[in-house]
Amino acid sequence: MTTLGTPKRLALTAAATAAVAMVAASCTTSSPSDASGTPAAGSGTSAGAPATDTIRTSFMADPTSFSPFVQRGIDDTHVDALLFDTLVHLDGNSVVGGLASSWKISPKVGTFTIRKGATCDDGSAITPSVVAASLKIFVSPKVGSPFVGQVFGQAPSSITANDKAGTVTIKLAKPWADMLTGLAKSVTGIVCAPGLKDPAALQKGKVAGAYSGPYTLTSAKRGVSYTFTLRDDYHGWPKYKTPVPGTPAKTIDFTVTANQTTLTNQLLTGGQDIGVVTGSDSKRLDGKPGFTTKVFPQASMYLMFNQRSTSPFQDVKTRKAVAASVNQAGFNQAVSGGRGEVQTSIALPATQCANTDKSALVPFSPDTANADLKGVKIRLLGSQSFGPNGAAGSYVAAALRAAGADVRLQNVDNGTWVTQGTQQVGSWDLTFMAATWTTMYNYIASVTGTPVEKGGLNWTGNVNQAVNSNAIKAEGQASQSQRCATFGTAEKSLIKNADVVPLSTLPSQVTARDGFSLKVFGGTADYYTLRITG
Amino acid sequence: MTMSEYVETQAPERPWLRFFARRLGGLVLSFVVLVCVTFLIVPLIPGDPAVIAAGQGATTQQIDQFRELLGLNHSLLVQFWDYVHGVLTLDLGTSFMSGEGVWSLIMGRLPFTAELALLSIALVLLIAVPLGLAIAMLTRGGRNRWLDTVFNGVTSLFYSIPQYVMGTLLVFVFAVSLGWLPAAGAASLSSLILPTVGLMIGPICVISRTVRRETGVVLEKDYVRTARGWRLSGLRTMLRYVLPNLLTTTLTLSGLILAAQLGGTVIIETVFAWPGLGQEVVTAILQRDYPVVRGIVLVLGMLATLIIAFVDTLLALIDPRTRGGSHHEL
Repeated sequence: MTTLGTPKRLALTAAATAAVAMVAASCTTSSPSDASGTPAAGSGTSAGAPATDTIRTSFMADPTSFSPFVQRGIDDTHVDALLFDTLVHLDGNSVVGGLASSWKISPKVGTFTIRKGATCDDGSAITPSVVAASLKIFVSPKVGSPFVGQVFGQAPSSITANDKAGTVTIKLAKPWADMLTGLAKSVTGIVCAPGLKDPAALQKGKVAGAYSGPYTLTSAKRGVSYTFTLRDDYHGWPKYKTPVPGTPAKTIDFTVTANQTTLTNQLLTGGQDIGVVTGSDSKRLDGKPGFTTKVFPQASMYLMFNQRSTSPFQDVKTRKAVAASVNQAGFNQAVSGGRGEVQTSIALPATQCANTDKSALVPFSPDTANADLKGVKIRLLGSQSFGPNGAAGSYVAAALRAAGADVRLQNVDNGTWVTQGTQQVGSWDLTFMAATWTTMYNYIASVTGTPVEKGGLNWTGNVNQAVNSNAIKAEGQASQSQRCATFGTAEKSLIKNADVVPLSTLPSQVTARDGFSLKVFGGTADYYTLRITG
Repeated sequence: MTMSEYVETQAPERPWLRFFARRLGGLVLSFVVLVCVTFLIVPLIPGDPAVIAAGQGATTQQIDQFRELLGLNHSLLVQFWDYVHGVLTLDLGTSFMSGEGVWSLIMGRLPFTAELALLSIALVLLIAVPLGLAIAMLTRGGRNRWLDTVFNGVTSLFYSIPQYVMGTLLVFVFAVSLGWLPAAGAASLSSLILPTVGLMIGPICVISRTVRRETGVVLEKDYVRTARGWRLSGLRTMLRYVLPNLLTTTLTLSGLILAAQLGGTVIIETVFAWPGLGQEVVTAILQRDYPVVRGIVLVLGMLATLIIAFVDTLLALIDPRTRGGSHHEL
């Protein structure tokens, strides 16, 4: 009988054809990124210390700009920290000289002596005139940078260069004691003349001679990889008080990895050397041999009440009832699995003058909250990015419902949240903020300064003149202890009055394979401190 | 009178002309619908692009400045005219976020998506067709029932696993646990393996099951029995009598799968950090980058339409009866 044999032969023929075809197809497929390739060091599954001069790390999304004047995302700040030097750099809770070798500072005037021998990447000298020209562009209304307020309070009245004396003088229209720390932000990175002449090309990273920082951009393949190469003629590395061990990498390769699970997989399999991991995936790296991890507070989370006439929260009793019904420790557990810190302030713990007095907080007391919240209709606006799948919103909604409130939760994506929060102020009653301001003034202004509908930063509509006056007064005080006392009075008043409810920090985690390091300063991973230590 | 009606009345004896006129009409209609839909649907996504582009902490004045810069202060009609004019002159505008031209952005990403989709569909065909044929031959006439059960069970199981679960499983086994392949990225040829496998498992199940069923039917036909009675070899029987009968179904299904894969690799691209159009469009939606979303959806839509038209043409060449567009009735 041949009827059995024939199908068997056919089956074998078919299987063999498939196998050969698979091999052939694999062999003829071209590499998607044939030009770049990854460095051999550190590949494989072991996480040992590598012998390499390259650091492999990642962006969450493609940088939107290579100009420090246009920063729209956290990855833009990393890029600018590598490409553009700043007058000073953060060093723990203080600053250290960058392009400025020394400075004299008061709340209204700063005079910076520019380091001799500093050059742009085309070899031209970075003179006080170059620095002043760049800072003038940063503060110009044409650029419209939203960061001017954080650095200078408001646009300086003058920025002048004295090339003979080697100084740049910045005079402010109103006192701003946070100017020095503000000038450590990468938005104030100094752009050399060729970059100022062609802002469009600067934004695309295509201007030679624009860079004042330690690296130049040598390759940019959108969605795939970005390569930064160390300049041989850069000698501006600061002498930090906080130890920053190791040597700068000759090459830094960034890939683009949006998904945190994928990023964690890449770290675990040796595909990346350093990563900033957020969310529940960070737990997968706990205690892994061959890695060092550092959890740091990335944002400060607090509740904000809409105090306009459309909301029930003009009434202080109702606000206090909300504050009393939310357990901070439970919130922290829901949002970050307990990896964050329960807050006594609305500001990140590293912020100068953040409140540490627990007595200002409305105590957790769900029973007393019930009486004032029963039947109150609350439109809660949350963002999916606050905790896993918007856990912040879900937790607070559950707590308020348990207290008898009638809650309608809208957990939307970030773009919708910010649009609704600022442009449709009548559509919500209660929301969160995950704030990353660098100055106490900005935290306060965001809850009681000029309302958004009048061009300010304040979402709540509540304007507390006494608190605002204290915040303005604090920025004019040269003494830090005086300044903190004044800010303390202002912030405690807001918390006691339940204008705002501190919750917890939203943590992030720097994970580095042995042999690599990255410092966290001021609540942000500072990519200027990327080092090879192995 | 439409163009195709005109052609039908004028040249009934020219079936190819009628066929191409119909296909061309379909393409033009698809293009018009796509242009309108991509323009209208994007602003329905809640969230103001100017607010997002200006960044958190921007003042109202700065947001207004951005709105003007992005051209969002114009009326919807003016914006639509600009969009249509741009599309007709092959200018899809510039990204709200990066200022990069949308065409160059698409051209930078499309090769990655196309590579993944084309490689996976090629492998799907190379694996699924022989597999389906082999199973049909081995289980013909009720033989090897256990094999039929195993085949049905395994293909049902793998088909039911969602792509994100399959992707995660592949990474866990082959990258994290065994360390054989990269977990993500597009840095080397080996990076292509896991996303391709993740993308092809579902279609292999569908096509192999279809081929197995169709083959089973053909194998029972009299002409195949006659061929075997002439003692033709199994391979010749398969190539001459079985395969041609599978072509219509397999090609139609493959065309649809390829079109779907070009636009539907979002999950696999995200899991494997593969820099294709899927990832780009997700980022663009989150950033409310209207020109990028519109550009990518339009290009992917047109590619899908062209692939289906190409498959129809191929089918018409192979089997002229399908030129009339009624091959289902054959």
